[in-house]
Amino acid sequence: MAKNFEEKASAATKTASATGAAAVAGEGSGGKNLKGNKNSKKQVMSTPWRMAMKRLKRNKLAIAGLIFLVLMILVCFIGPLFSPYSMNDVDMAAAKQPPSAQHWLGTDDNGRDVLTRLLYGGQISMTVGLAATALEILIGAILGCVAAYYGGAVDFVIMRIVDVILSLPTMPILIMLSAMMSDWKVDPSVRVYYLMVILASLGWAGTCRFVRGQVLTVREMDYMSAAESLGIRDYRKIFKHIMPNVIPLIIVMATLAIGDTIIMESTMSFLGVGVLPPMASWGQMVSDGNNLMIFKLRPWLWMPAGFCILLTVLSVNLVGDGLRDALDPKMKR
Amino acid sequence: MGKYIVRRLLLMIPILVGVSFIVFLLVASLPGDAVSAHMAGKISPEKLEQNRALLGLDQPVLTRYFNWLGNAIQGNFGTSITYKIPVTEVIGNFVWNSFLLAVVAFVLELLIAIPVGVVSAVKQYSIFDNASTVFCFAVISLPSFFLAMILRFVFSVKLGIFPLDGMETAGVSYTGMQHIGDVAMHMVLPVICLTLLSVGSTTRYVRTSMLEVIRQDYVRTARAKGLPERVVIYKHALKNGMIPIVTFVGGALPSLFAGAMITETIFAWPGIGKVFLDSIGQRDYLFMMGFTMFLAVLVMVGNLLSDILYGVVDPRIRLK
Repeated sequence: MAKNFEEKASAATKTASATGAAAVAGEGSGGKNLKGNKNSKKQVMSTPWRMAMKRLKRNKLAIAGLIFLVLMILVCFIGPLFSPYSMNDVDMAAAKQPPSAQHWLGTDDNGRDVLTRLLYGGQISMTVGLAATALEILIGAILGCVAAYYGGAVDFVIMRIVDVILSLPTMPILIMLSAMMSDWKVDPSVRVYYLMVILASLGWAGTCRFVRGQVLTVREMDYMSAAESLGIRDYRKIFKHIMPNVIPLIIVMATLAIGDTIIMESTMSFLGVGVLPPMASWGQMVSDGNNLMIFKLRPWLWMPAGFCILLTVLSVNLVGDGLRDALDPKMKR
Repeated sequence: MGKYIVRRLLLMIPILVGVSFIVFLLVASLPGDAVSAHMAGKISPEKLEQNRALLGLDQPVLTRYFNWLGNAIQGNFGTSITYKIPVTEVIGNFVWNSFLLAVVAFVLELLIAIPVGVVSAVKQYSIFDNASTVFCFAVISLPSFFLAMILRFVFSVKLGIFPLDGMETAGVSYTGMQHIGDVAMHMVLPVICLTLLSVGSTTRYVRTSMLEVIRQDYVRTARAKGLPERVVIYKHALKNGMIPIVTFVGGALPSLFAGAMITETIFAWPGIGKVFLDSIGQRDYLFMMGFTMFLAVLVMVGNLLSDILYGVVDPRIRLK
């Protein structure tokens, strides 16, 4: 019996860490669930993580969003392999064509195939959105934890920086940072990476404030006094005992932030200060519509990219909202 | 309460100094300056240098920053290089055009968001709720520039109902009612654009807040004692459900003066947001500084207002 128990416990930890939820499932209530399942061997163990996934699966909108996102990623990353054209195939003889069998979305002024550019643009827009968000969440979560855990002067300094950043008007600052970047004369393909850093450099403040608030609540809980009295090292307390309880909320926040970041990047590219040609991005393709003739007479040049942004961000937001419902234990259906 | 407000106001000072310093550093390190943006190619390099010296652009950044700060504290934000009038006057001239758009959009937003949000919460998971959820997420996910372009394309280019851009028809000088009507026609599309951009998140906010209230025990008590559902919802639940909305509205008031950069630019609406976006290109650094400060103050006053309102409408909250 005792052996059996141990095996199950280790299995629970394994599945949990495999799904990335680490100690939420393993330490939080894994033990309780084991007791519940002792009698029925065949029943799949229900960790909080699995229960959340179950709730997510019931949310039709979120699943629709998830499926669309996967399709979008597949199409953007694999699609170009089947395209007879490349991102910057300039063919002046084939310029300014309307949609046809050869060029499904026509060609632009330089004779580049719009659909192919749209797919490459999608790769860049989505990658920038994901990478910048990952970076901002990482910085924000670590600083938020540190500020809340140590308090005092550390907290004060970090939070005042956060206050200042949150009082800055985001878009103008992004435009200025980007104008500085143009002065460094970096190659457009390298510039994309700088762009991620710039987006993250303003985005982390919101995450930091949010995570700090969550950690402050967790820190006051009884099990933290227990951890305290066991004399565990600080980083273990932060990463093993506090983080796992905050991670579900961070996941929700991160998902919703991806949508915002994609919109931010596309707005910058639309204004001509984000991803620059010859690299393609959705926002930049919409900006072709700033030319009144293209805007009025050749909407296939700017409209598809806009709808791609809309649908991608919409799916991301639906998934994020679904995750919030699924991961928030207070919102029982 | 008085003490609380004073303390919050004092706390704004270091933040404003921080904001101004960061923005100043950024503006100063932009490639090119106001002189090169306005006069390059038109006059000789020596003259350019003379003009720089005249504007104080040849001094070190820190000196310039403290000069600016010293003047700003006395309420002197300098003169806009583009408009040749004091920065405060430029803001005063254009901010009302932005306010006009923003206030109409804000009223519309509340008129849509509150009823839709409340009904969505009361009939959670109904067809209406699902439809409004999809709608809300769709408009939240719309990039402002794309929405503005689609509106222009559909209603102006294809249907020809509303003018493409601007604030009044060029080349004609209407007076009186005709003028008002003309401006109103030009306002329709930008207002729709701004309303749609913000109505989604507000509706979700109202819905969440109502959902929380409806689940509370006192609502169950009201039902248990046999009150009709209408009274339970609209008399008992709504009052508490509206608390976050009141604070939200209070907090949003200052932002009505902030202007909408992208929307105003695409619709060529002469608002403060468009002026600001243009000023970045023209390196009108005094205007950029002045307006960024203005924005930062708006944000902080908004936060303070919503916190104060929270204490006013919800006696459970004590500000200290």
